[in-house]
Amino acid sequence: MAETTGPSWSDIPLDLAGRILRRLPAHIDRLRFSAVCPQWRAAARRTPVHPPLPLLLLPDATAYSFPGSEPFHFAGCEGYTDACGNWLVFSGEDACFLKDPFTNTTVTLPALSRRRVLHVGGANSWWFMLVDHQAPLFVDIIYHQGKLYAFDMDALFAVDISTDHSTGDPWVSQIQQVIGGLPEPVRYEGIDLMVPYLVESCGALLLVCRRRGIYIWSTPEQGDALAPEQDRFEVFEANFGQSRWAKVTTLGDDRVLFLRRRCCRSVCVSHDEVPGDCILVLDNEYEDYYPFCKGVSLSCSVYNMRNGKVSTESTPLSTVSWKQDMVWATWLLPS
Amino acid sequence: MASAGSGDEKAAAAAMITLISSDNEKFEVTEATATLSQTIRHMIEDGCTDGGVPLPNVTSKILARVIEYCKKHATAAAGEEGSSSSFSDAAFLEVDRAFLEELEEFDDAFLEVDRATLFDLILAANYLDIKGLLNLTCQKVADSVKGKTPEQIREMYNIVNDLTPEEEAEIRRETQWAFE
Repeated sequence: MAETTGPSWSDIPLDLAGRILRRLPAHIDRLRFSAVCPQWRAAARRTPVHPPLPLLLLPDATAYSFPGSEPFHFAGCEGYTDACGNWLVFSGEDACFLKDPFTNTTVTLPALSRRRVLHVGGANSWWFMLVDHQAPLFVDIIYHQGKLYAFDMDALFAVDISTDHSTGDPWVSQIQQVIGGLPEPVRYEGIDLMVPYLVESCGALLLVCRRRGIYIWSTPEQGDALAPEQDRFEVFEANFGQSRWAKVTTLGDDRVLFLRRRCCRSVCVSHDEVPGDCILVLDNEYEDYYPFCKGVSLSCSVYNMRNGKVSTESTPLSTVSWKQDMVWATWLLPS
Repeated sequence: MASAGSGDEKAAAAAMITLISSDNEKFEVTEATATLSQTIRHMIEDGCTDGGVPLPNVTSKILARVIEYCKKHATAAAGEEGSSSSFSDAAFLEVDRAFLEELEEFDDAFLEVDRATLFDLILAANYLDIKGLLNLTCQKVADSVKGKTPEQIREMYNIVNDLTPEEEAEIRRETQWAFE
């Protein structure tokens, strides 16, 4: 480098370009970096980096590549009505289809109008479970180590799937309880709401219970009002051998759970990029419980397993908020 | 040795090293300053610094900047050693904090350079193996491209898009969503 006139950034040595790339934790920044020129592209291909972090997708198709806070428009997600893993649901008047917005792969769903769909779920695959009215009311299902499991707010069930020999269609042949009731939570005076999440992390099946206490109080001016308390979290690991939930106190220093009903992910992180041993959640989840109020401001929050604190400020997405809508925000995980 | 002003620097004051830039300019620096560079440290350890250290990959303009960085950070390192070896009381912690803040301000101001200089600083930091400077400059580039499209990055860094149509097509196919 005898001359400083006109060094070209496109000739930067590969290892130095790799050093810069490793300082870009947001997946979209890495992709864009690798599309600048052949040299930068080559650097991106040979630099080992941590697995991609998720995107936060808002109902209007605005997306944030975690932990970045620069929004971009994700055109392929426009008009989605729900999500399950990376599959976005697009439902029209007479048909419903799924789309993976990263690959634009679509799957058209069969007509299900006359049967009762209890749940859909699965991060990497898509499952419908059609069960009769005697079955437990499942609130979450997950595909874990070759088996389908379902949770009904209290117990975990194994769901056996068989194939109908004549039609080739899969059907539920047996539902059996494998783990009984949850350990009693600390009693709460008032109404205690719970949102359960099933998530697979490092080969284990975890159940995260997110609880929120609600006080009802009356004022002469406003009548009855609801006062929500801060969320509490408990994490359990399924111990199939002993048929019980074992309390978990740490997820591991390099683990972050990104939770949203039917879109739960356990992601390996690098310490210098984002703090580990945390759970990120969205405000959506209590919409089933609260009266629907369009326009209420929602955001993400983070639960730190180490100190048990919940915060909306300490997430990289602390400045991101969106308005409550019929459609929920979700996490998408680029592969 | 005016730059090493704080504390006792007897040993460092005695040992001076001459660095010679690619355009043959000589720079006298203390050993403490020079050895922030692992490359130079190894040369000193091998006893091959008599008559000066030629640095054929670094111009005088860039070497002057690198020395400016090393002087500041060598003083900081000496300051840290000084305070940790003595009893740690609140006054010392206060001094440390003030010093770290000052160092951060220095780094920020130091990075206020044009893109060409930043590029040369990265190459020099890499060649001289100065970890702190390399991290600092690479972080500066990373921060500047965050949230930018490839086209904006090319414009910022004066890069010609010479991707082949096949490469362009491959990028579109694999990651269309990121560029819409």
